[in-house]
Order: sequence, then structure tokens, then C-alpha cells
Amino acid sequence: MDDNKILFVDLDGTLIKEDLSYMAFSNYFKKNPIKIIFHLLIFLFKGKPYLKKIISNNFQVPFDKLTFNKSALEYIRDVKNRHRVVYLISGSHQILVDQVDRHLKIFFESFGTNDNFNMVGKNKVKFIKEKLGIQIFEYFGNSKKDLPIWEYCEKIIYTNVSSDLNKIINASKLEKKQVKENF
Amino acid sequence: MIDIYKNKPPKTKFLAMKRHQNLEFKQKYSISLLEEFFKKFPEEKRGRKQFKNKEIQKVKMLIYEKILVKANQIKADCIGSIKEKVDNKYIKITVSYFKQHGR
Repeated sequence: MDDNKILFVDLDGTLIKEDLSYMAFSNYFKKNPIKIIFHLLIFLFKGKPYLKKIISNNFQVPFDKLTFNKSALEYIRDVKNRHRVVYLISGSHQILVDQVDRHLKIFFESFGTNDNFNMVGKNKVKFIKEKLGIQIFEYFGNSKKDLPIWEYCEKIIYTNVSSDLNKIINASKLEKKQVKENF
Repeated sequence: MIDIYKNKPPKTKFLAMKRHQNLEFKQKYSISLLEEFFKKFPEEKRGRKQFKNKEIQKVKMLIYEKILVKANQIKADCIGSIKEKVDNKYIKITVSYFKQHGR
């Protein structure tokens, strides 16, 4: 195992049980039920990053209500103790990801969806390889959307996966590392 | 404590914060008020030299203050790759932020 590989960690579902974008959306919907219809119409033209930005603005992440995956945090701390760089990367908007990063204080840096870039699935690989210039890395995730990212890694690091995904992972020839979820 | 390097800091100690590379801080400066004042009161100009350079230095200080505030906000440990550019209207300072290994 290469101990110098950079580790990217997903947020929603992996590090926390909840989906931050969904929480922000329901919060916005409760506060502005009429406005959201207007924004949903614009979202059809402008795409997901636009909607994520609108719902994330002025949303304070309720850390007391979040359920953190303790074993995932333990795993990250263990990786960090081996002097490896750990980044947080998520499909949630940068505003929300930054809040989590500031709260946890264990990541080197955090990356989320930007104004015109939806940080999900293959886009994550594109971002890591092209924007960050990192060719060899490891990824810690939990969803089917993460499968294209694991294709570029030598090892699948996973937690809190569905039974379907578990079957796909088990069928894969790549090295596997399961971090048992502990919410 | 934030380390400051004119060029890139040593790779063995610091790692680049990818989101915070080559950030430009820009501020307008002007000495028109001073010049107007000296036109009105030319006797005041005696003994006062290099007031344009002094104004530039003051504005640079303000920009560096902003740079340091930003460094604290993003929890950077080091500022490096500093480039200063002064034209007739603006002062532009480009910097990159770095973090210590293992933090």
C-alpha cells in the first residue's frame, strides 16, 4: 500500500448520515415556499449548481442534528496520523462543505459544488485530475455515484453502502477496504 | 504565526492550498487630492518628498492586512509566491496560500 496517496473523502452518506443539500432544500422550502418554485424554473435552464447555491446561501449547518459516522472519522484520523493529506470533496455546495470543514478541522482543504461545476461522480475525477493535478489518489465514498471515481483508484474504500452496491463492490477486482458504519 | 516567503515555500514543510493559489488582491490608489492640495498651497510641498511612493506603501500595507486576514480565515500557515504590480491606478498583489504538512 502506498502510504503517500492523497485521500479524498465524500461527505453526504459517508461522513454524515444526512444529505446536506436536501437539508438545505427543505429549510429553504419551509422559509420560502413560493420563491422556490421560481428558482426551480430557473434551475431547469441553469442546472443543479444554481439551485444548490440558492438553497445553501444563508443556511447554517445544524451540527447538533447531524449524525456523524464515528468509524469514518476514526479512519480519517488514522490516515492523517500517517502524515497523509486528506481532502473533503462533496456534491453539496462549497458554502456547506466549508462549514463542515471548519467544524471538523481534520481536512487539509475542502471542495464542493461551485457556481458552475457540479461536484458529483465523474466530475469529481475531472476536478481531481485536471484542476488539482493529482493523478494517484484514494477515495472514500458510499454511493453508486462514486463508482466512476473508484475506477481510477487502486482501492475501494467504502462505508454505509446499499446491498446493491455491496454486490457490485464485491464483484470488483480492485482491492477493498470496508469501514463499518457507526452512526 | 504565519510564515511569509517571497517565492515558493519549501515543499518539505508546506503544501499548497489548491483553492487558494495565485489570488489577486487589488486596490485603487490616487494622489490627486495631495496634488490638488500642493497646487493650492505650494509652500507645503517644501521638504515633502516621494509622496507618491509613500502613498503606494500605505496602500500596500492595507492590501497585506487583507491578505493576512484571509490567511487567518482559511487557516493557512504560510503565504508565498508574492508578486506585486503597480500601475497608474491600481496596486495588485498576487499571493498563494500554503499549509503545513500533517495539519
